[in-house]
Amino acid sequence: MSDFFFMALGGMFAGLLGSVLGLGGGILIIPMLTLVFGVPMREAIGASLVCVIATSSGAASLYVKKHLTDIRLGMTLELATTLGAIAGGVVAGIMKPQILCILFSALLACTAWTMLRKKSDGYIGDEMKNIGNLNYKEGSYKTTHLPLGMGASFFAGNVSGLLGVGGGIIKVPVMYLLMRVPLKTAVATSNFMIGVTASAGAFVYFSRGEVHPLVAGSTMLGVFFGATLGSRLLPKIKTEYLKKAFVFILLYLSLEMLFKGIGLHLLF
Amino acid sequence: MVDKKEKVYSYVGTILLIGSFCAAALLILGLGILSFQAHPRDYLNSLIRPYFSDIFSNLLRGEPIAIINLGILLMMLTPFLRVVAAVFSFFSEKDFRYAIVAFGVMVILLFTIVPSFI
Repeated sequence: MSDFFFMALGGMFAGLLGSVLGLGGGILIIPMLTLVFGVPMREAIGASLVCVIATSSGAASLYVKKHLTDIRLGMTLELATTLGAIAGGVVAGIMKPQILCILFSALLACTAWTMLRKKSDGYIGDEMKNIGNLNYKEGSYKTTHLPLGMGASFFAGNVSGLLGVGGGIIKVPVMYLLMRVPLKTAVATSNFMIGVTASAGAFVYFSRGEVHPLVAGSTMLGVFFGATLGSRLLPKIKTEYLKKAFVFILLYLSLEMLFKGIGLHLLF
Repeated sequence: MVDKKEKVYSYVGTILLIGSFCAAALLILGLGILSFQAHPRDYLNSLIRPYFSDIFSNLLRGEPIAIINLGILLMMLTPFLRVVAAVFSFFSEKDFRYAIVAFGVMVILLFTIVPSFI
């Protein structure tokens, strides 16, 4: 039982850090479960997808109530993300877990790179801070490149289903840079979509029996409270230095996952 | 028109909140009961797909693992319920184009949800 207590504690930490840094919980939960607790990769992805739903529901309910979300755009893109997530989940069932580890390592490295770059591409955490002063009205902008955006959303869903993350790291730039959606709306809409996308993927893992009740349950509970606490703390703390330090942690985790994938061990 | 739009937003937001809090409550209950049981380790080896009917029959017997499974399922279904709510609210707004879009998302989700239950 103590393992599960620590999983819940770890989940809480991941949820807290994730929401403060503007990352989904998934990017931290999978390394934690696989490297620290030795959970098999696919079970870790299954648990992570459930956690992603939990964080997204918490944050999305806040955004939707503040009218930041473009539900219509979100629904349209969800047609593509859900299909992508299902495809990703099915492919993950065929792939060797080692390959999944290596792909996840690449995703961690990409995330670290995104965090290093400054605001130019719309860093999520900064936008969450300013959620109070919004100037968005539905229909006040016109989206462009819808077909291309749908294609990119399919890819985002694919990554989500394959590797157990929310995929906001792809969706936000796609909406903001490609489709010309205002940044805050893009962030909120991405958050709204993440839950639906993750649940499409999660059911694929669930039907294969890869959502372990104790692993997923205890981690999700931790993440739920961690993320709720994080969203309360967010407006009060400075995250600049935390972000910089975090880049190194992500790079380290990326290396660890890579070594796990090719069968070497650094620390764990 | 404005009022109806307000409604869509508040429905969707409320569903998200209620769903996730109920799921969290079930998890606390299940994990709580489990932690007071004598041999919780047995569950580790029983990693099989929980069938829906099993979950409910075990629930009646007060199996903590079934309570946890129900909590996880509820959390997984919350986004689906929100899509269903969106279908209805777009219909009530007479915004048929997006009602169809939301319906499409609902059908795709059903394709993954239904096989998990049979």
